[in-house]
Amino acid sequence: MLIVALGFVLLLFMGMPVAFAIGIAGALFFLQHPELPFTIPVQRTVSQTQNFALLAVPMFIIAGNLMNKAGITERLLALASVLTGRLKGGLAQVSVTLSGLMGGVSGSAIADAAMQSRMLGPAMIERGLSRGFTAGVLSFGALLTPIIPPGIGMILFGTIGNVSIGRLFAAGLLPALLLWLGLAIAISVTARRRGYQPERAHTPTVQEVTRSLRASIWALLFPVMMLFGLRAGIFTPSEIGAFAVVYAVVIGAVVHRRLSRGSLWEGLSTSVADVGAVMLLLAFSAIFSYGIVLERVPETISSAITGATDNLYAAMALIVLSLLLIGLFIDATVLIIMLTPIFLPVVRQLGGDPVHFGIVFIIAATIGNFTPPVGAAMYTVCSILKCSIQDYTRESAFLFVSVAAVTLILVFVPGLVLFLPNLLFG
Amino acid sequence: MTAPIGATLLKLEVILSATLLVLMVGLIFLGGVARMMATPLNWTIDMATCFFAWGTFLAADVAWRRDGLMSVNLIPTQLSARAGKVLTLVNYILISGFLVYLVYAGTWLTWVSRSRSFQGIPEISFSFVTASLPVGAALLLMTTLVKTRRLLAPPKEDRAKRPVAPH
Repeated sequence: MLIVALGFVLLLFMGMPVAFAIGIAGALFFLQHPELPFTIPVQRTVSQTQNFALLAVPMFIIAGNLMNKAGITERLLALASVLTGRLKGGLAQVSVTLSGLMGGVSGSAIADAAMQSRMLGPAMIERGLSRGFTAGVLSFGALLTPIIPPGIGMILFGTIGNVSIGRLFAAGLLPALLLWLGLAIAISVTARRRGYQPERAHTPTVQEVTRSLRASIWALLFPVMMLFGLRAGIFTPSEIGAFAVVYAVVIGAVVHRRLSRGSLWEGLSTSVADVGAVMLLLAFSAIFSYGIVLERVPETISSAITGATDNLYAAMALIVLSLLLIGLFIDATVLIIMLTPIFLPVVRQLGGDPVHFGIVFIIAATIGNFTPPVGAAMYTVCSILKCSIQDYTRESAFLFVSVAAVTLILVFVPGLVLFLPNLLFG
Repeated sequence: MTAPIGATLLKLEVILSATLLVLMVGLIFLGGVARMMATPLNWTIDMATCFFAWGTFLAADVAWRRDGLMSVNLIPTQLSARAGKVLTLVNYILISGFLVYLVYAGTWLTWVSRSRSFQGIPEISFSFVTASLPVGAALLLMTTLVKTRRLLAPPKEDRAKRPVAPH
């Protein structure tokens, strides 16, 4: 497995698309073991696409893209601007708030970062925010999207670890609020130091707030309805995902009258490439994980962790720190797919709550999307804004510290994560 | 010659994979509604997962054609244009080799699994699902070869033949 791991890192740094790097590195294991049937990689790749629970992934990707075209984004942007435009840091604050609001209809941090970079990025730089800071805010702000239901990461974690997706969805809300707070404070501090101005001159009136709340009502209702749909236990997450797509089409075409045939096609066409990129990664990762299971890597790591500490919170903090470290090089989707089966048993063994761990794990893994040298959200934002990775890194370090601190608080205070799911699901 | 064929193929591929995605949404939606009305349909899930395989690999090729697969460009961007080109070429060669293996092993597996039924449905062979991989890998291989050709082509030809991704 050492050769596989080294091969993966080498291919990654050669600039090979991550999906192929995982597949080729994974195949090296089979070259080392000629006694294994040569068709196993093919079988593993195909079987990955035969998992019904994973169908929720394309469903929520399509739903998110269509919600974007359904006139929901603009309404939520108006709401975010009314709610937080008065804060220091102006559009930077609005952007983080928008990520939180968008979290209720979309489940992907990368999609959110890409969408907001196009929508808000140029205006933020025009308002005098430095390019690196703008890119950092747009990237790190997207952390809120996958932990507010629905979230692709929660679906992956729940499916792989056999944890209730409804509970995970409910558990994300309070931590998201804390992360928003952490980011808002970090932005305010930076804005104060650099003299970035608020976006709006006056405090919003009650009327303004009510008006934008009413305009966004369909987007805001969606996560609530979804949670109750799952709470009732009637629907699987994949079905909720399919309902979300239909909901987006109905709201876009009938209620907001914004979704034309052209924009529907655009949304679908974008979804095709998004689904292709995520699913190819998922499919090829099955080649890679074969060797991991065969060589009992999870057991080795488990015993290393339990050997170092038998305190649950210390072990979880250790896992979070190692995730942040591995996250420098590997992105959330891959981390969740590869490491859930390794770390979840350790936490269970120590008496931890899988939902508590899941949320912390997903947050820590998602941060990996934003941290250099490798981060999908970071690349997306930086390439759209033409920002160098060096500028990005320097200007977003403070944002990283702030979200990492919130994550560690969540490790040690499980009540913050478990309060809502316990209230809702008993 | 490859440019117009490539463009047509891409369009077809996008339409086909978008259709598969829409069908998946429709089937799952139908399955949910049917169960809510106490008349569960078990075939909707089977069909949706079957489409999932084809949708995945066709969509993957769309993503690859549009350069939509994520990668780490930290080192390649630091290199000189010439060295970067060589590195990209090495990548394409390795990817092509891997895809050739997938086409070969996938075709073989499709052939031997033809008598295995899909989800226990005797009329549908599992080969129909397995075939999605060699077909997808062949498309990815074609895309990689087109990319390689473009990489090696002289610059002016490169500009003239760059296919425009339809939206």
